[in-house]
Amino acid sequence: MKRAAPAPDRQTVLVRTLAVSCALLLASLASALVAEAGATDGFGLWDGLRTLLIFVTTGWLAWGAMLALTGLPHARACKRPEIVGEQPPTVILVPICNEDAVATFTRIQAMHASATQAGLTTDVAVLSDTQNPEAAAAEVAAFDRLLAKQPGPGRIFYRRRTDNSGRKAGNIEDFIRRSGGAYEFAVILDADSLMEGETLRAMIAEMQADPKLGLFQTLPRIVGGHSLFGRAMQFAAAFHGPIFTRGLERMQGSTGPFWGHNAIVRVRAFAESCALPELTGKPPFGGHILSHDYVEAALLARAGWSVRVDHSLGGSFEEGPENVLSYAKRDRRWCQGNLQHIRLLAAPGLAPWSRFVFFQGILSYVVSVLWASFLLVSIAATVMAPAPDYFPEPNQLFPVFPSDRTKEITALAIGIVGLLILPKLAILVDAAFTGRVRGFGGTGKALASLVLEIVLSSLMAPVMMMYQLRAVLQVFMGRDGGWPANARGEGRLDLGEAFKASAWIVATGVVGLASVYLLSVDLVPWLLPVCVPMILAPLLIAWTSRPLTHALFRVPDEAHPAPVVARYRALMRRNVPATQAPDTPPTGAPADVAA
Amino acid sequence: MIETPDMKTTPNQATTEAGWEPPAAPLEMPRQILEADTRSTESSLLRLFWKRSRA
Repeated sequence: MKRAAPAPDRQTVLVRTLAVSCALLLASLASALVAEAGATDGFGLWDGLRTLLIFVTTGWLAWGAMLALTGLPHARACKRPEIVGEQPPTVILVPICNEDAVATFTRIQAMHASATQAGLTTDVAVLSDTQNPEAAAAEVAAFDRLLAKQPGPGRIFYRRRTDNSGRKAGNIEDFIRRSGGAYEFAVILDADSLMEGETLRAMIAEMQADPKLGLFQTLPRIVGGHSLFGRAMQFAAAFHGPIFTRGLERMQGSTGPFWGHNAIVRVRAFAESCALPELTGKPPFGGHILSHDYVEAALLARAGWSVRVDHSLGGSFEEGPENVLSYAKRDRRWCQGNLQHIRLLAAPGLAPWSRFVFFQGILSYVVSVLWASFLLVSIAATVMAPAPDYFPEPNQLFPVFPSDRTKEITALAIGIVGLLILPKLAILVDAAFTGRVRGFGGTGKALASLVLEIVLSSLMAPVMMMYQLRAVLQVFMGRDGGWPANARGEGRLDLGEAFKASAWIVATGVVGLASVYLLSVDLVPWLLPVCVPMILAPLLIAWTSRPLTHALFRVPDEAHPAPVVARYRALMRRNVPATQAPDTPPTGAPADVAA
Repeated sequence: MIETPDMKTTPNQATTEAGWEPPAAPLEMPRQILEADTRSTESSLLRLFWKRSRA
């Protein structure tokens, strides 16, 4: 039966209105400063363009800040529901594609044991899309070993498709078409997901308690970071993530997100709503929908099911990229997936918030192009500005000097930096008052980690902007990035590998800085924070891939690892040689980014 | 071990239940139509790029 998309309640509408209004107000202030500075010598075309670009880019930053501020106020603790009566039949789906078989099946072993301990009877289905015959043989061997070791309730299945149509979404769809009728709920994981049995239990109970709930998304915490880059991401996800997600919870209402894994779905709702179409035309805009999760969440909401994310339910984990190149490789796929959503913005029947989520995803990548355009237009506006007229009136005795607008531009720069830093500082203050900092090594260490994270992200921002800029341009030029295997655990990079992957960024930085020096030397100081990190990109990429002492960027899961994480690590130490165990930093570079 | 053209399953020896294949319980998944109105709303610029990608 077709139902209408759930309407947001009054509080959700109020929060959304406030957040959007504040973001627009701050964007307007930034635009006014730029317009005023540009009007000194007459407001021209370049000034108009610059004003428009700063409106969008600052609005985007302000929106991020609003998300954090919305998440700062604490919510009242609610009692979680318990499973009532017999546990509904539930399957854990683990779609994999050319993954490390030993690590994947060891995670399943740890999760299955944890689920059994929590009194659950769940089946596990490993859904392989692996094409590499050697990797497939390793999967079968790992599966056989797991079956020999894993007694207990519930069954474990492994099946491999030779036809990979629809990729991950098609893989799950294939299982639901064949076997979905046997289950009420399906927990969807990634190959690197780890979930505590008690968390799985709580997720099933949430679904059982609310018959209108179609999907329940947990907030996975990143574990296993070794490098400076990986640990910085792990810290940011653990420290800021819950606050940003709480902000998202308040804004989304019942039209929440699906991040593709570490979530539970109502199989019937998913089946009736989420069989994705293949878009007409060839990739990157046609073909299979790459970022299927956002679309599936929107389709569930369109069919009247509610979709919720819960920041407070612990015991949900994933791994993150260990270096900039692994991150950029993943980001290239996400970029194409999000830009593909342009075609779905006007799809019929979607909830307005679902369309807004698509828009946000698109803007999150296009904004890099807009920042780069702002820099170019600002240079053009300065270079093409008319020469100052010191004697505008005939027979004027004393010269009139044009007013200096450095103050406005400085105010704008401070405002932009403030939008980036203030929410993080507010999160630190909140964590200090609530005692949450203890998990991060105390206030001093949390502050030091935060400062280093801000410095690091500021240094890396121009490099990331360039990778995103290239990705967006490639997609718009019709270049399909494909679906490369995930670069899990790819670690330390040497300077040669880093240079090979970023020589074009270095060249852009050098040419950009030299051009500005020749065209308008006054602009050089303003361009240094952008161009210097670009010129130093190989050093930054190699340096941030190095292992880091665990003194900085501490997270709660290091001092007190969750039982399922500890169990996984112990099993891995038994299953693989010490050099490849999960506590040892791996090595290797993702070749297709370097190329 | 049974192999079909697109499916490969290994018996679960750990279970005491009879059978080891994923349960055969088909569920219909009607494919969602999303494109009905989208093509007409695409900007001409995007369509230009899109045509290029199809070429």
